[in-house]
Amino acid sequence: MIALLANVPWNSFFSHLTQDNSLSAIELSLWSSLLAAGISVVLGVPLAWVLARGNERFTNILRPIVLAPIVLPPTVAGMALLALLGRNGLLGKYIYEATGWSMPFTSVAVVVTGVFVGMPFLALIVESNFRHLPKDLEEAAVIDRASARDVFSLVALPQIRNGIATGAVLAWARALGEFGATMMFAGSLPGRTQTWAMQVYIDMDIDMGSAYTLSAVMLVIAVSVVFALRKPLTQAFTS
Amino acid sequence: MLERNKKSLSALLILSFLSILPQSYASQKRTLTVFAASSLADSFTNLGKTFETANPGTSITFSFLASSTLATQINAGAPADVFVSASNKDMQSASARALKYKDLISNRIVLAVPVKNPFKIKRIKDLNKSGLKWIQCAHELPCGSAADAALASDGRVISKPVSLEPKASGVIAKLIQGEVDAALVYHTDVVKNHKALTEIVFSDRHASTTNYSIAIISDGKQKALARTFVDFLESPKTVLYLRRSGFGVIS
Repeated sequence: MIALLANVPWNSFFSHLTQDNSLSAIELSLWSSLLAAGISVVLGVPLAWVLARGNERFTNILRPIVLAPIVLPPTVAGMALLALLGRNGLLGKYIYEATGWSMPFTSVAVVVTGVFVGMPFLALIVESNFRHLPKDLEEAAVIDRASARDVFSLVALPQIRNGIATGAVLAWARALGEFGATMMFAGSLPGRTQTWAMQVYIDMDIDMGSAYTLSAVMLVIAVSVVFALRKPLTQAFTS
Repeated sequence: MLERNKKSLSALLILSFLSILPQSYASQKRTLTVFAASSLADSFTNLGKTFETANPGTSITFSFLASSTLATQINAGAPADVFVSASNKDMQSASARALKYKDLISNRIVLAVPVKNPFKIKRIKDLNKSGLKWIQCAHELPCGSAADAALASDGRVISKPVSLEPKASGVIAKLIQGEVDAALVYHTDVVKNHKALTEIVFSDRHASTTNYSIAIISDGKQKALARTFVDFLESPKTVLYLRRSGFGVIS
C-alpha cells in the first residue's frame, strides 16, 4: 500500500483526477455504488430477518444461495448475471421481447452487479445482528398482540441500526470495487458503464500516472471505511 | 483403527510423493515463455502443441492478454522470452527489452454479424440503423485502434458503440451470446466461429489491416529456444496453418 502511494505522481495528482474520463468514472462509480447499497438495504434487511427467524429447514437452503456471491469469482458472477438478465437470458429474454430494452451496457447493469456482489455482505452482518437480539422484547410484543410485521419493523429493526449501517457500508464498498463482473455484464463505455475500477485497468496501459492516482484515492477510501468500522467489524466477525 | 489410519495415511503420502516425481522431471525441460496478443490465443495454443511435439524436451507457456497489458508487464520485468504484439505501437513501448522486432502476420478488422442477422446488416453503414447495438474494442487496444481506423476509412458510420470493451475476447463473446447485433472483430475470429457468424469487409483493405510483430526479449533466459520458435513460426507448415486460420502471412 505504501508502494502504491510512493508511485503516485503527486505534482500532477489533480490534473489526473480531473481528466474527463477519470471524473465521469468516479461520478458513475459513486452514484451507482450508493444506489446499490441502498437497494441492498431495502432487499437485504428483510432477507436477513427471514434468515435469522425463519424455519431452519428453509433457511439452511436459502442462506448458501444468498451468501454465495461473497466467494464467487467475479467472472462467474458476470456469467450468472448474463445468463439471467442478458438479452437471451432466462429473465432478460422476456424483458427484451416485451419492451425492446435489455440490461447489459446500461448503468442499470452496473447497479445490479453492485447489488449482486454487495448485498450478501449486508445480509451476513444483519442476520448475525438479528440473531444476537435478546428474544424477550419480541416475545413481549407478541404477547401484546403485535403483528409479525410490527415485531420486525418496530421492535427488532430499531435495535440493530448500527448493524444495518455497517452492512450497508460494506455492501457499498464491495459494489464500488467490483470490476470483473461489471466488465462482463455492463461493458465499458465512458460516462455510462466505465467505472472507477475499470478506468484503473484501462489507464494501466496508457497512463500509469493516472492509474496510480485513481488507485490511491480508492485506497484512501478503503482504509477509511475499515478504520471507521473497526469496532462493529470486530464485533460482527467475533460474535 | 488408528494403526490402520496411519498406514493408509503413509500410503497416501507415498502416493502423493510419487505423483510429484514426474513433474520434477518435467521441470528439467526447457520452458519457453511466450507473451502473445489475446487474439492469437486459439491458433498459438495449437501451434504450441505442434512445437512441443516437434521439439521433445521443451514446453511452451503462453500468456495471452491485450498487447498493451503485455508490453506494460514486459517493461516491469516479466519473465517473457518472446513477445508477439498485435500492434507496432505496443511493441515499441516494450522496446527497452524488445530491441529488434519484425512483422510476422496480419489480420483484418471486419464487421461481424450473427448468421441470423435480425437487423439485416449488409453494409458497413447499416450500423446506423436505429435500435441496433454494436460494440468494439476500447480505443487503447490494438483491436480498438484498428477498428477506429477501419471506421474512419469508411466514414459513413455515425452511430456509437454501446460499449468499448477492455478485452478483445469480450467483444466476440457478447456477439455470439446475442447481447449485441454486430461487432467489429478480427477476420480470424469470424473464421473460427464461421458457423455462428458472417462478416462484412471494409472496402479500404489497407486501413482495416493490422500487423502483428514478433520480438525475442533481449534479456530472456531461453534465447536459443526462442529463435527456434520464431523459425518454427516461419516454417511452411505453420504458414499454411496460419493462412487457414485467416491470418495474412508477411514474408
